[in-house]
Amino acid sequence: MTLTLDADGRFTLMLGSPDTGTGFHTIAAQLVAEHFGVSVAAIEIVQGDTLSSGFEAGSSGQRLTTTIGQAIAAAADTMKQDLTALAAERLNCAPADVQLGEDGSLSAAGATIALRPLMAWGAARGKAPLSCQGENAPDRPHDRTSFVAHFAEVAVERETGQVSLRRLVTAHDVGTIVNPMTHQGQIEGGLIQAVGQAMSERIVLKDGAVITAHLGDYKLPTIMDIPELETVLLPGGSGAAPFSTTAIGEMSNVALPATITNAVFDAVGVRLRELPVSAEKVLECLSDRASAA
Amino acid sequence: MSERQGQRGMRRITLTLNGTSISREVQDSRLLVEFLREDLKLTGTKESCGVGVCGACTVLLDGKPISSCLALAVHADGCAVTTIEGVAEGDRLHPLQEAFLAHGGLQCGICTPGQILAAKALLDTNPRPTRSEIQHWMMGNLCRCTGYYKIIESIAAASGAE
Repeated sequence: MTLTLDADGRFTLMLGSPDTGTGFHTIAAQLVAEHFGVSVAAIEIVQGDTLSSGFEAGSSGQRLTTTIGQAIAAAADTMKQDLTALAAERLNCAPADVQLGEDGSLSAAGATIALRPLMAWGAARGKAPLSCQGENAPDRPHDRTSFVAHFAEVAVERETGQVSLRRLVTAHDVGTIVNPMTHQGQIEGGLIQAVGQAMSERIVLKDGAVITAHLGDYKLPTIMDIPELETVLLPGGSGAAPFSTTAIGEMSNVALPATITNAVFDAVGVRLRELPVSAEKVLECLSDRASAA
Repeated sequence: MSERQGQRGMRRITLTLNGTSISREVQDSRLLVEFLREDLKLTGTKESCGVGVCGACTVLLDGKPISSCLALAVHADGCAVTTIEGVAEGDRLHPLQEAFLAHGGLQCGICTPGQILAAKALLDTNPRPTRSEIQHWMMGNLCRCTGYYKIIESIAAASGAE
């Protein structure tokens, strides 16, 4: 990623990783704003490419807030040094005496200058805009390790094998939540994708050919299929990423099919080893169990 | 080609599109979604499944939601068609659009034009739907990203705000 502080005091963050809908670009803007004490409205996000923005690990694997967060922190550190040097020149003091204020202003020995006039002053002397690259941090899995517990309440119709998912409780160990709305969006979206995986989605092969032809055959959950949901956030976990964030993207998605099949086992004593949980399979397991008894 | 008059298999249709009357020559076989996206360049309407089950291509025909991937353009002759481009009033977003933004009712956005139009048709006839009525009405609009909770929240928030 490339971070630029323009002559008008506005920031441009060029990212190679797209926002696939997770809200990642909003989060990136929030992180830049937080580093410099400026408003999110002062940050422009530009969707670039990895030629102009530097290599990035990409939008997957719940790693963006962690890896780009570290790249943004590194770029912000470099830029703060450049900015401090510029302010020192303007305020006639040593760079070490310059303080970056919480409102984005810079001050030393009683004199204060806001970001915008400082950058305009620098631009007039050929010293602005400021630009620096943030290298994508190594993708260390422990940086994005986080924890989740799911609880599923199911009802099983013994005569037909039909399983209904009535209620879910999902509990997450979280660090700093950068954006509560997109954070919850990741939880809810991931959970319902997992509900699809557990309950209805299946690619059917016949004689080596896929016969699941379209979205009419491949059954995504609809708005009628979502259970009552309770989300529990347990703050206090301190993430390895800047501002103590923890990963959320895939946390709600991975464990739920096992939770649902465990709930079916708890309800009627049959172990399902294959997804999705179809009525036919449950009925077959129930009758196998009855004939074995 | 569509500008040529009297060509075999072509027909002139006149419709009210987002409040403005338009008249065009179209092939009898032209789908409404192709007519909107390719002939008129109104690319806000999305085509996803192409078989009428996902709801992404939903537009309103005389106020009722239809799958534009299953309708022929000639079906719109003499009708009023509303696409996502016609929902806001200039720079002023529709209450549903405001609510989807404020409540996170979208993520990747592909299903969103269809969600907004389906929800608009609901609120136009039932301004204060219950949660259950929202779910029944919106059943034909699939979403892969949100898990639907925030879509329900958005529509509930927009209800009665018009």
